[in-house]
Amino acid sequence: MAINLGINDLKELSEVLSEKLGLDFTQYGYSFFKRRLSYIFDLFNIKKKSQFQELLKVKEFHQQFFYNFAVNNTEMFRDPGFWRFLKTLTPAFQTKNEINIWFPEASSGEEVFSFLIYAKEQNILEKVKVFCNHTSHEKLNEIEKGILKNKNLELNKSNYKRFEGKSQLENYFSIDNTGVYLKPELTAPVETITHSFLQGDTPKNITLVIYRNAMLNYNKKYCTKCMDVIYDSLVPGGMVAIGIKESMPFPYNTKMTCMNQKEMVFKKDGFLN
Amino acid sequence: MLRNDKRYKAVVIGGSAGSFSIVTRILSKIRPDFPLPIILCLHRLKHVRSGLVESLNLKSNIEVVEPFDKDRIVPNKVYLAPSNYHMFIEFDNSFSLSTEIVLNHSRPAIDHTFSSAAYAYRDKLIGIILTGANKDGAKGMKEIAGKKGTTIIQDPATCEVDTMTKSALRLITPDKVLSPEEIIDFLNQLPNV
Repeated sequence: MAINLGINDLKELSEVLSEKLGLDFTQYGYSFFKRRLSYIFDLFNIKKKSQFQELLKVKEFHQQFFYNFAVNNTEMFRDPGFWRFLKTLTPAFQTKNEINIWFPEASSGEEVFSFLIYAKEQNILEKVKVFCNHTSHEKLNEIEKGILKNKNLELNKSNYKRFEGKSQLENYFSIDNTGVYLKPELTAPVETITHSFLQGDTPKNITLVIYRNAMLNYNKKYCTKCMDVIYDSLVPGGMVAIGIKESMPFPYNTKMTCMNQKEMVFKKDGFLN
Repeated sequence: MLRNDKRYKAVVIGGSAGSFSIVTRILSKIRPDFPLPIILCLHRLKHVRSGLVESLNLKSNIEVVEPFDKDRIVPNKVYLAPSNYHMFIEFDNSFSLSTEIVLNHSRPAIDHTFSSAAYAYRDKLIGIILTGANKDGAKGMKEIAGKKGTTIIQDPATCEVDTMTKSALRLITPDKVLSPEEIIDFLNQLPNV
């Protein structure tokens, strides 16, 4: 690590970032914020806080910051039990003419791609629209193009096997000398939105929000704010999935019905229609 | 210098190959009124979510739980890092979990848990590294030593695999090198907080 950031440094930098980037950086968990900043300092060979503050004056750096600040390392079909549980929801999805899915922080493609493969196998892909929010243009561009950056192929295949998929995972990807790509027919329903989901317009009439492991990064108060926006986006009977080791913030832990305590899927009151 | 009258706030224990049976022994002999939280970071299979905590609870004298993100850390409880998450300790005495990149081929990584605990508890932390087959935990032990926490390394001669303990020994001179039985005795003689 190039520089050891103390509490006061982090507080100062969270305020500077909030001002320069127009997003609230003061609400991150302390250790998370420290790790991500340390990672960025190492990546850009930043030795001093003042050097970082100079970089923040360069507009082009903002996008590089957004791209690298997000946690982009996950895996396809992480927690296969969750993806198997989605299969039990298919009959409810099949009765609808349109199914809107929202990833409020699509920090890497794997969760989105896993959903698209699930939708294809469950014959609901044609009805699906998948909204993805992120602050990084490049990240969203990668998702739209179906670029699989982390090639944990063996791990992904092993998760897919546990998901009990209908095919072979590699059948959904094309590989050439430039990289690994999800086939274009699968990425067709993806619609990207380049801003934080807590700012500006957000998608409405959402059937299912997949928001797994993003609240790990925030403090409790901010998690409630995130859920305020997510809850408002849902249709009656709409659902939200959070990470299996996250807690649903108050008041949504009482306002919503837990459909699956192990996979942490919650439902808004009402019936899907 | 190790001081037995020091007012500790937590114990962190890390281990990998062979450590499950040692941890089981420790927990089966720990005094039921043990005054501190015991935070365990053990390498485990990422796709096996359940079973480990239940197995530990069968023998443990203190309740073992897998914490949820943001859970508060309380005394007289054993916390086991969940499968496929890194586990950190925050300054407000709570856990934070993360799905960030694997470290030392591991998630949970012992280095992450130990380093964050060192920052949160400073000299009021006891760090124990057990048997294991890679170097994870060595840097974390160095951080604990750097904050003047108490460092204990399982005697490599008693380890099923000694890579982990020897890696830690290369980085620090610990306060104690102990056999599993001596680790149990050390923990059981700690005074009430």
